[in-house]
Amino acid sequence: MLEISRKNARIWSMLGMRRVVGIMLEELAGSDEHFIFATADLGRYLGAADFEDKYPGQMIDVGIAEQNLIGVSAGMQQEGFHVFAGTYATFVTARALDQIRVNLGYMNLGVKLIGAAGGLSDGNFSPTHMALEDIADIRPIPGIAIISPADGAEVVKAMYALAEYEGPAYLRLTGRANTPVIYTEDYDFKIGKAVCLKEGTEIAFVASGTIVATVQKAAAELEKKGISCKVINMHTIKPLDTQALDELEEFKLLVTVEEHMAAGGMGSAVAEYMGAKAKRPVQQIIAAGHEYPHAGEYEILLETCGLTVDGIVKKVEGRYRELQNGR
Amino acid sequence: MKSRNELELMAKDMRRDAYKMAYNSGTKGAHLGGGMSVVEILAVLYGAIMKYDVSNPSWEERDRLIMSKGHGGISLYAALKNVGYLSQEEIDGALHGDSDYYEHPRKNIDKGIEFSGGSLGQGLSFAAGMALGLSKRSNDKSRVYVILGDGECDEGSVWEAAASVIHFGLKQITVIIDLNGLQYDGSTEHIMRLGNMRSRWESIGYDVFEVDGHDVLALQDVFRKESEKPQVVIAHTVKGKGMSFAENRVEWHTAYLTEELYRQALKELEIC
Repeated sequence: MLEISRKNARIWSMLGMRRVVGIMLEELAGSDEHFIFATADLGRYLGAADFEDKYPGQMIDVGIAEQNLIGVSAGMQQEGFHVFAGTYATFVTARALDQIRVNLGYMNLGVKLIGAAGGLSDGNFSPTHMALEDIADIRPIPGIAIISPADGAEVVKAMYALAEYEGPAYLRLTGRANTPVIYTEDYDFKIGKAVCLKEGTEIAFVASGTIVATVQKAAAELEKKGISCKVINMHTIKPLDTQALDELEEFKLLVTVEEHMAAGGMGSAVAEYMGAKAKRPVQQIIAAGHEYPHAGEYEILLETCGLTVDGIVKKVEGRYRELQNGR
Repeated sequence: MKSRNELELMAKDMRRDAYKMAYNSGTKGAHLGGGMSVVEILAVLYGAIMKYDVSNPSWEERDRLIMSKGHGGISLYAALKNVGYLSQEEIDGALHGDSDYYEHPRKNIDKGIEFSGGSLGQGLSFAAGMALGLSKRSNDKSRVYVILGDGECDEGSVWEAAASVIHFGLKQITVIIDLNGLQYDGSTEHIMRLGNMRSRWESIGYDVFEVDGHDVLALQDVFRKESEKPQVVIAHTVKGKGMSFAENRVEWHTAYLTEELYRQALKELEIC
C-alpha cells in the first residue's frame, strides 16, 4: 500500500492526478493478475508509458476508438477480469455513452472508467477537450458510481477503494500538474461517504475535485469577514452522501462548487436531494456556466468562469448579504 | 455431424415456437422479419456446432454466442427452448407482460443469454473483450460467435471492433452477418450502401465465407471450417423467411400476426 504522507503528497501534487493514476495502475496490476488497464490511445497521457513493459499482457490499447474501448472492457470484465479503462474524460463518457448505458448500466458490468482532464484543465486545446458535461452524462445511468478526488492522495485512496468495489464507476480527474494538497496523512475514505474538511454554521460549501482547495481558501476569506463556513469534500458524486446533506438543513446558504456545466452536475445532484426537504438552505450553484468557454490556459479559464478564490468569495458573500436583507 | 433432416426439423420447431411467441404477444408486434432470417443459423449453431452444457451454463469451455442484433431475440428464445435452456412455459409468455424475455434479449447467463443486445453495433466489441479474456486465461477450447445484421453494419462501432479483433489476433471469433438486404427504412442498398462486404472484411484480415443462410448443411459445413484467422460468415438470407406474406417485405421488420396470418404461417410451415 502506498503511504499517505507529507512527502508523497508533495510528489503526487507535483505529478498531477493523471500521473498518480499511472503509479496506481502499476500498484494495482502488481497485486492482481486479473487487473487490466485498457485505454484508447491515451496510455502515455495517463502515466502508463512503461506499464506494458512491467506488466505484459495486462494492458489493452484499442486505438482511438472509445466505443470499442467500453465494449472490449465490458467483455473482459464479464470473463472475470478487473478492467480500468481510461482516456480523456469527455471521450470516455460522452463519446461512448450508449456503450456505457448498455454494458455498465444495464448489464451492470463493473468496469472502472477513468476520465483525465475533467473540467477545464486542458481547455487550451479548445472546448473539444474540456469535460464539462461528463458528470451529467453518467449520473442518470443506474448503478454507476462517480468519484471526483480532491487531490493526489485522494486519487490513491479512491483507486484502492475502486479495486475492491464490485460495481461500475467513473473516476473523474481534475487539475493539471502541481495540484493543491488537501491530505498529508492517512484518513478514512469510503465510496459514498463525504469528508467534512471544516466545521461552520452559516454557509455550507459542498465541492469536489481540485476546486475543493480553492473553496477552502474562499471559506477562510469569508471567515475573516465574520461568516462561519463549513466545507465538505463530496468526493463521491454518486451515490451522494445524503446523511452529510441532512446535516445542512439549518444553514442559511448552501454553495456547491464544481468544474462542470451548471446543469446536471454535482450541484444538480445536491439540489435534487435537498429540494424535497421542508427545511433547507437556499442553494447557490457555482460552476463553469452554461456556455463553452473560449479556449485558454487553465488558470485563465478558472478566472473567466469565476472559479477562483476571489470569484467564489464575491459571489457567495453577495448572495449571503442579500439573504441577510431578506432577499 | 447432423443430418439435413435433423437440422431442418429443429429449424421448423423453432419457427413454430417463434410464431406462437409472436402471436401470443398480441398486436404490439414482434421482430419477425429479422427473427426469421436467422432461424437456420441458430438451429445449426445450437443443434450441431456450439459446445454448451445446459446444466452448467457458466461452463468455462462453452462456446459463447453474442446476439448483437437483439432483433433476432424471438429466434434465440426458440433455439434456447429447443436445447433446454428455456421451458415451453417461459417462451409462451415471452416478449410481453412481465416476462423477463424481452423483445431484445436481456443478459441471463443461467439461461444461455450472454449479452443484452438490441442497441446495434455493440456485440462485436463485447465479443472481442470476451475472446481477449479467454486468450489471457489460455482457454483455447471456446469459440465466440457473434451475429450481426447487415443493416447493423452501418454502425461505425462495428468497424472499430472489427479492426481490434484482427489486431489482437482473436481467431476464436466467428462473425456471422445475417445479410437479408433489408433494414427498417428500406433495402440496405437504398438506405446505406454496404459496398462489397466480402472485400471489406477481407481487407481487414478476416477469412470470409459466403453461404446460403437457410441451407442447414451448407451452414454446418462453413461453421466447421478451420482458419488461422478470425472468420466472417456472410449468410445470404431472406427477411421474414418462411412466411410468404412477410418475405422480403420492409413492413414486416416489426409486425403482428393476426389469427388468420398465424394459421397461414403454420400451414406454410407444415407444407414445406
